[in-house]
Amino acid sequence: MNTQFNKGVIEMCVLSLVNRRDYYGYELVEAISRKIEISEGTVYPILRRLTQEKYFETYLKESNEGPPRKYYRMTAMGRTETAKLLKSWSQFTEDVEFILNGGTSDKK
Amino acid sequence: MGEPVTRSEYINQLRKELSGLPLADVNEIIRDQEEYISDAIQSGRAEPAVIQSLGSAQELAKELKAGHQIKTATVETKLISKTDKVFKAILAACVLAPFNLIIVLGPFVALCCLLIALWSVAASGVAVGLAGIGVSFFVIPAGLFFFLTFLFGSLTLVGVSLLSLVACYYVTLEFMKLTLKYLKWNIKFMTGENV
Repeated sequence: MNTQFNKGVIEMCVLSLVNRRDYYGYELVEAISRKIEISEGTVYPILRRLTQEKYFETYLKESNEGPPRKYYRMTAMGRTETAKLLKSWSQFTEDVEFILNGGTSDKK
Repeated sequence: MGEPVTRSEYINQLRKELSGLPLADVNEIIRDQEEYISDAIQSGRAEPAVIQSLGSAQELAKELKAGHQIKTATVETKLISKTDKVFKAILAACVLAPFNLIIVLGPFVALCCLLIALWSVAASGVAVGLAGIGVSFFVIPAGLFFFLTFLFGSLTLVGVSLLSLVACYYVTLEFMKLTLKYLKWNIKFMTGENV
């Protein structure tokens, strides 16, 4: 896939990944860029902002190779917000899909 | 400024661009970037390729700085300092995306002028009312009716103006909070050119 993705979409990917398990920075970028072409520098400001907004908390863990890694763990508040966000996202994609498939409907 | 090719060039440039942020923040950001670069090289990629894919250190610094300004403005509770910090956050957002000069700074300044006008009207109401109370004693010779009308008129003006000042305070505070909310959204969605 080679679309210029909006940061909002990358943020959603980050949220949904960390929602499942704790990640460290490089691992997150790898997980996303396996599917979506992103500039690697975009993810870090998102991680920092989500941490500042208390969606994530961080802890350092020793790694066998190189410096200790900073892991991002989702907070209870982050989980609630992510659930809301993912729900409205899937509703949105469903609606877009419907229209792309030529559907028209008066129901909202 | 030449684009950095090596890890140390990148880190040095980033450190320089981050100046102005609290040292603890700078050190944390540098630490995180070092970790990232280590991990990337560990995974078998060449150093120059990793540095190149990180993008511009300057852009990263601009974005992190804007984020920092918004955060400090958000936690500030004193109205005057908050206003000042909101203003600085807007300036940082303008550095990040220059068209914010038009779509954010312009309207913000205009609305601030309107708020200042409201504050002035309320404050002069208090001043005029207080003066009126003083003056009312000079109209005593004109009769009790005049005196009381003048006195209570002035007292009412003072009361209403004081209430308006309180209202101004809350309106201004709410306005700053809304501006910050908008800025957060702005930074999230409006700066996608280097995605």
